[in-house]
Amino acid sequence: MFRYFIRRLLQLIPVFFISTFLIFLVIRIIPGDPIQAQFGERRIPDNLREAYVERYHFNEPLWKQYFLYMKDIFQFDLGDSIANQRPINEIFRESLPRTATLATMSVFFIALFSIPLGIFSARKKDTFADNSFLVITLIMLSIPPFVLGLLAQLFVGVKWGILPVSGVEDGLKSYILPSLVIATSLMAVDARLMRTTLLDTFREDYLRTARAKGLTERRVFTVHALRNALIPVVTVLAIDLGALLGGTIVTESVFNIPGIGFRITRAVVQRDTTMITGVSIFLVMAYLFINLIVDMIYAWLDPRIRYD
Amino acid sequence: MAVPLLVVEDLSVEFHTDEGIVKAVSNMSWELAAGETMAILGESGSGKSVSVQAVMGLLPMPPAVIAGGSIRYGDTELIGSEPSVLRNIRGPEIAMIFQDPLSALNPVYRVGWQIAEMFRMHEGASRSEARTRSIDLMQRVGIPNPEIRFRQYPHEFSGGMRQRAMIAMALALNPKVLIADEPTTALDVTVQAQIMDLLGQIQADTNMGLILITHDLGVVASVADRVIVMYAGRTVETGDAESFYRRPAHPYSKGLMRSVPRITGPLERLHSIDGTPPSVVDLPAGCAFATRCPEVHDRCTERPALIQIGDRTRTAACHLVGEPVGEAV
Repeated sequence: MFRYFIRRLLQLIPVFFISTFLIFLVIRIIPGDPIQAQFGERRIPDNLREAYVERYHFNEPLWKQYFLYMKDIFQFDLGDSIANQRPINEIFRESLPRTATLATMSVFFIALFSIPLGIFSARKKDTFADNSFLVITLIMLSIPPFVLGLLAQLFVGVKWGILPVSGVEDGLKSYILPSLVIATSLMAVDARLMRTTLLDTFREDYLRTARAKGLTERRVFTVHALRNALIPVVTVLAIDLGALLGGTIVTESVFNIPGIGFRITRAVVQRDTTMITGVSIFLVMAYLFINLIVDMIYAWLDPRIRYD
Repeated sequence: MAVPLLVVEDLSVEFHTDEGIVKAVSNMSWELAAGETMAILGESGSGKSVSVQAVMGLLPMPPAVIAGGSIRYGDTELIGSEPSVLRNIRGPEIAMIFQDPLSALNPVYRVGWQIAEMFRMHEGASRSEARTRSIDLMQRVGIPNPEIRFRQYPHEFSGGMRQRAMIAMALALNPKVLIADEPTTALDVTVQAQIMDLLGQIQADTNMGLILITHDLGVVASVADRVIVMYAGRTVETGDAESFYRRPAHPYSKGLMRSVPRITGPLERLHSIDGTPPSVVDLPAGCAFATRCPEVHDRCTERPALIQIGDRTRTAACHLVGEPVGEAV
């Protein structure tokens, strides 16, 4: 297991450098002047422009800019935001916990509903209940999140007054409604996955063996079938978490939650190139990290992976 | 014959599919006594596996339906009995091993754990007791270093070792009947003989009844006391192995026998039976083998019953067996 971990960790190194360099390159070659963008139509005094150029190393060749940037990254410094004149780390410290709360709560809801629903549907295969499940999940998948978000705000928040409509002033309670909105479509996907993998598992020879051993149906199902069927579902839940940590632009905007997604939107509007680079590279790191975790969970759940 | 352990009478199994009703097993009857080895011989789709899975209650229902007959273990009727009754027979009384031991073992649990599960679930044994007894069993079925093997996963075992592990699991509770469904088909030729030897040796030690499902005539010849030949879900011939081999009665059995290469005698082209088995969705009303039979004649449009031939233990489902049987093949 440890050797597997080390091998996966080493594989991340080239992925990290290639992806960060590509991000760096793409953001720098986008036409337009990021310094001018901060001043709108106004003329920038020469000394001020020089100060900007100096501070963000815009006068250096691209490879050197990347090198300097990487030097900072390895000291866990993402640089400063051009638009806000604040360290990006500081902005992250504010917004990341919000996005992380939202992501964790969403994945909690996804797991809470999708696993039992998928199991129920698989066990009732081809019945009215199962067919209804398939139709309902299809509907859940096809509603755009902003529509669902606005409807949830209108009914749950405004008309019934059960949960806060927007913002983050009410602590954890503020996150329930947006989390449910985010969870809705992913829940449908994961519940269907749970159903499919369970139905596949039901056909496995080892379940016939388990029955031939004279085990109770309950044990055949929970110990022998479910454990195997959960492997892909748990993996997908972890991938969901990774994706959601990158912020959900639409839901964070609808519910006015100043998280990572919200920051991305702002940075793009303001042409805040350093912020965009910082957020993107953070997302790459978060994604690589989550992927490593997913691989570890996977290896832990399925012993065949560990020794390939 | 001694008092039979397991009696199957007039068993019919159907699969209700979208294409129609598949008559997988029709009117099958047999008995198995302690210490006896009975081989059920037939090609793929002949119903040999389905018939024993019906005994174990392992058929997925639906689509499978037991259309008729009875399966008795001792005084217990297995068809339609309570799940709790069946659970106390599967494992402790009748055990089963399967064709492909890799897919038959659960990939995410250690092999030892899967063997120990028998003791823990059926006898409420403690973890350590179950472990000790499992390691003993693994030793007995010829798994080297059982303490180390106990902690390994199925994918770390070789094919032969996996089948030994399956046998250990099956033997855990000293069953009186062991059903082996093509136990050597998925294994290397050299390992096949080892597994058959092991089964033979265990049977000699425990005096259990052994049902061997196979399409390998060689395997049957070396171990079986009695043979049942199945074709398209129907029993076409039964008898003691020795006289069956000396003088197969049914044209299908004769064809099978001639398709086996021989070491002695002149070198000839291998014989094959022309045609393919009929679809079991719409079986012909008469003899199922008629379309491929070299000895087909007018009466074959009637379904032949099993007719006793020669000595009392032999039967064949062919209109011709009443008449003088041709030369021995």
